This record gives sequence, C-alpha cells and structure tokens, in this order.
Amino acid sequence: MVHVLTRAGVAVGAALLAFLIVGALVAVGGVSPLDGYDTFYAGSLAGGVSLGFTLTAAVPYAMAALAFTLAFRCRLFNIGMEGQLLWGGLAAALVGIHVDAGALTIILALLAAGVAGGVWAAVPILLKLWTGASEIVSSLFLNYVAFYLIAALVSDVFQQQRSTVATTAPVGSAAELPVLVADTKITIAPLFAIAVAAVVWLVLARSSLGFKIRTIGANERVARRVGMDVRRTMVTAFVASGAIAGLAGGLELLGNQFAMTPAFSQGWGYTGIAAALLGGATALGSVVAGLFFGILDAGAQNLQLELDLPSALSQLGQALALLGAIVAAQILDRGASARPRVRRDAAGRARAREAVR
Amino acid sequence: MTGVLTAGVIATAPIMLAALGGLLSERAGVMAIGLEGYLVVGAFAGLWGAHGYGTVVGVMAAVGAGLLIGALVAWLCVSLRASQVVVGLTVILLAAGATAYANFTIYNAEIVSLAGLPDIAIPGLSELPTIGPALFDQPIFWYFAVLVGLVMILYFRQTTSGLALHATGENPFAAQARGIRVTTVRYAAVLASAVLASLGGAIFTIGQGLQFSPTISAGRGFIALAAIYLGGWRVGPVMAACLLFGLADVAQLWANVLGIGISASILSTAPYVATLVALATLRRRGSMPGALGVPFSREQRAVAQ
Repeated sequence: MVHVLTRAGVAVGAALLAFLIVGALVAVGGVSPLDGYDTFYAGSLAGGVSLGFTLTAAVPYAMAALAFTLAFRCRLFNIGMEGQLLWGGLAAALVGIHVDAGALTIILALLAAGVAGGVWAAVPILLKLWTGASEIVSSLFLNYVAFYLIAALVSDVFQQQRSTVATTAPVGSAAELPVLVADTKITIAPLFAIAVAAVVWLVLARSSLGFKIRTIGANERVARRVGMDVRRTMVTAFVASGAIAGLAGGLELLGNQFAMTPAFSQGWGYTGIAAALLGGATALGSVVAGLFFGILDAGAQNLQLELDLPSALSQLGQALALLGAIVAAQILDRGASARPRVRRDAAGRARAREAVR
Repeated sequence: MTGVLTAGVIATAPIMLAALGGLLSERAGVMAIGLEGYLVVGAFAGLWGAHGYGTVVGVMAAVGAGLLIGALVAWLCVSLRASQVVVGLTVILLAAGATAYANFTIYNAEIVSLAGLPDIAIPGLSELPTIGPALFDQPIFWYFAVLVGLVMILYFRQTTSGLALHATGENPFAAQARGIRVTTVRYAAVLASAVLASLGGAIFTIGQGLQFSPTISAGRGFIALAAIYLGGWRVGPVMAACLLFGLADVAQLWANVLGIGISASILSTAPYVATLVALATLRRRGSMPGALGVPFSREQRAVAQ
C-alpha cells in the first residue's frame, strides 16, 4: 500500500489537473480561461448564495460517496446506490406530504428514506449470500428496476392532482429542511452529511464492526478463520450503505427539490462512486471529493448561465479527475510492489557491511 | 402486430451489437461494464461524421471513436490492472461528459439529425407471414448485427484464435503456460468490443436518425450487459436474449396493441427482473468465464481465489 499522504496528494493533483484541462476546454469554446475561472468562482464559492448552490450540489455526492465507502471497505461494490437513492427520495416525499408531526416530521421522513434505501440494498446482498449472484451486476440492474417502478408510481399512483407532468405534490412546510443562513440555499443538510461522515469514520476506525469490515475487506479467508461472522457483517455493511444512499435521496428531496419526479437523480448514485474513489474510499476523502464535485457543478452551472458554455464541463471534470487518480494510483502501486519486499534496517546494513569486510 | 415486431427488431440491433462486443471482452476476462459509454461515443462520432461527410465516414468515425475509447479501457484494465468495474463506470462518465461538451461546442443549439437508413427486403424470406417483414425487411444494420453474431459463433467454435480468447478468460495463467499472449489477446478483445458497441451506438444516429443527446442510449448498454448474463456468455443465447429485450424495449407499443392496462414503465423493468431471476435461480454460472474481472500479470503466479 502506498502512504495515505501520497494518495491524498495524488487525488488533489488529479483534481487540479482536471481543473486545468477544463480551463483549456473553456478556451477552446472561445472564452478566455481567466474569465472562465472568474465566472466559475463567482458561481461556486464567492459569497453565501453561490456557496449555497455548491453545498446543495455537494451533499448528494458526499453522502453517496460515504455510502459506497462503507461497503467498499468490506470489498463489496454497491453499484445500486442510484436505485437506493431514488427510493429514499420517494419515501421522504411520501412522509413529507402525508405526515405533519411538527419538528419530528423531518426525522420521520429521513428515517423512512434510510429504511427504504436499506431495504432495496438488502436484495442484492441477500441474493449474493443465498445464490452467489454477484452484487455488482444485480445491484446495477436493480437501479433500472427502481427507476422504472418509481416513474410508474409517480405518474400513476402518487401523481399530484391536476398536474400535467409526472410529479408528486410538494412536501409540507414542516418537512422542509431548515435554512441555516437566511437568503441562501444553505440548509442543515451539509451538517447532516458531516455528521454521517463522522459516524462512518467512527464505525470504520474505532468500532468492532468496523474492524470486522476492514478485516473482511483485506482478506475474507483470514476473517473466516479467526471466527468472524462474515455473512452477517457483509449484510450489515451493505444494508447500512444502502441506508446512507437512501438518506442522500431524502436530504436532496427535503432540502432542494421538495417533490419527487422521475428525473429526481442527476446520477449521484454513479458519480458518488467516482467521488468515493477519488477520496481514497475514506470518510474524510468522501466529503472532500463530494465538495469538489459540488464546486464543479455549481461553477459549471454559472459558466452555462453567464458565458453560454456547456454545463457538461462539470461531468467532464469529474471524469478526468477520477481518470487521473486511477492512473496515478495504479502506477504508484506498481512502483511500490516493484521495490524489494524486505527492507534492511540499520542493524542489517551494518551486519552486511561486516560480512563484506 | 407485425409493426410492433418490426419496431422491436430495430430496437434489438444496437443492443445486440453492444452485447456481442461485450461478450468478446467478457469471454477474454475483462468485464464490460462500460458498454453504455461505448454506445454514447459511437452515437456521437457517427452523427458527426455522417452529418459532415456522409454515411461511410460516419461509420468510420464510429469505428475510430471505438478504437480510441477501447484503447483507453484496455490500457487501464490490462496494462495498469485497474479495477475493471471502476474503469467501466469512469468510461461511462467520461463518455457522457465528453460527448455533451462536443455536441454543445460543435452544434450549439442547432438540432441535427439524419434521415436514417432505408430498409432492404430479402427476396422470398420477407414474404413470410408476420415474421417475414419483421426479420427480413429491415435496415442494413440489423443484418450486420446478426452477421456479426453468426461469425462469432464460428469464431469461438472453429478457430484457434477463438479458443485462445476463451482460454484467456477462463484461466490466463494456464493460457500463458500454453504460449498464448494473454495481454495481446485481452487488448484485442477489448478493442473489438468497443468498436462493435460503438457501431451499435452509431445505429441510433445514422441508422434510426435520432437526434443526439448524452442520454441517447438510455441504459441500453446495461440491457446488453444483462443479455450477456442472461444468455450465459454463449453467443446464440445472448442473441436470443437481445431479441427478447429489444421486443421489451417497445413496451409501449405492445401495451397499445394487446390492450394491456399496465404502464409501459412497469413493462420496462421486465428485462432486468428476468435477468435477476435467471442470475439467482439458473445454475448457469458454470459458463461464466473463470477469470472474469481478474487482472493478469506475468510475474504473478497464483490466482487469488
């Protein structure tokens, strides 16, 4: 393994490189890159309003990245976060529309979102343990099942009355996340995401569950030999991952969109994987990478608004950053494994010198 | 009825080319998660070439784009031995971002679409009742997709190259011991898969005359992946699964013709549910390539299992 700091350096380097390439592409589009960066900065980081856009965009990325990280450390690929996130959004919407329990409404809605995501995640992991079907493909296919089912549910069952487009009614005002900074979109969602990150870090680094997860992730056979309950740990990690993905959908719905539509997700279930990997599959890294992706989104939105550049620049930047990180990580790993396995310590070197004399 | 079948067969062609491409890659041991990305890239490259310089150039552009993205994937998965799942997802993200950017930069808000390709009727066969027009009076890309499948059946059964590819996917270490150049075979398989799937994507724009958008393939790359799993990594059954999924793709038409009150959305889940049930129940994983997803390096001896 390569040192953690090296990894972090690689991720930051890759992100900067992606940023430079996107700047070059802005120039290709006929706009001075300096103007481009200026507009980008104005739309993402300058002042409370733009910071609100950035944080709102960052929350689903960071949450999905945290969800992926939790399962990934147990060497499980949760590619099904997109579906879990959609169910989370629908569950939060339904609770938010039909329940008004004052301050408790938000908690109930988020609880429903987490449960919905967790239940949907239970399907692929149980299929894996019972039948051996790979969770990678089954959770991927379940995304589409979820997407089409929710499209049908939203347009046929939960359709808002007298609406011509497929959407549920908006949630009641009691279910909307409280705004932290007046006149901006900054809600409590970012704080919630940071709290989830802290919990994920604590669980992974300090709890016995986390120890089991990491041991299974490092070597399943060893984990089994020392008597760990591998199957139960896998189910726990994967369902918890699904619950966090569901929460991502719930936060987005209660904090930003307020009503469920078939076009609810911007593909966060997939880009969240990119964010997690860019962040080195750690809790802190997930949050930082999620924030980076949020900045890209908000900045690129402003580029489209102000300078008529495609907002797809954001997606391109995300892909390039991840690509750079993959390449660098693989090359570093190779360098590490090519080095001699056993390093002589000082005493060993002294003995070797003795022997030569 | 015939109309629905015809539409279903047209919808099958891109799925089938992507699935056949993906099959080559998977049989060589490299997972084909990125098919969706290849389809999108091929759709845009095809449109760009054909719009500016005619159909032939469009097809060549799709092939070229397929080679480029295939080379990237092969380098990452085979040479650098990066996680194949991660690379596949990255390629999908990259393809969507790059084509959206190119589409915006080249065509801006202009709406560009092509006329589509004409039908070719095969004399005799096309006069069969019901299925005749659906199978034998179709645009050229449908025949091409079927031809690729037939050639692949022969390739796997009758050629040493096909055997080498199969061996590489089953056990690269044994294959290497037998003198097969595993890295070369895997590079070739990934390149071929990207080219085929990219041509499949070109069907959307050149063949069917659809307007480009980065979501043009609407998950058909994943449908193709599902077809590979449902078909148990064998060419014939995979083609049959593609036809099934192509017919399911025109679910809305079926609902209208048969007068079913179910929404088309629910019918659209059918391919995925069918594949999940098959994955969970049929004990066909024996035909899954043994070393699928396992990176190969010559220095490394034991397979981690």
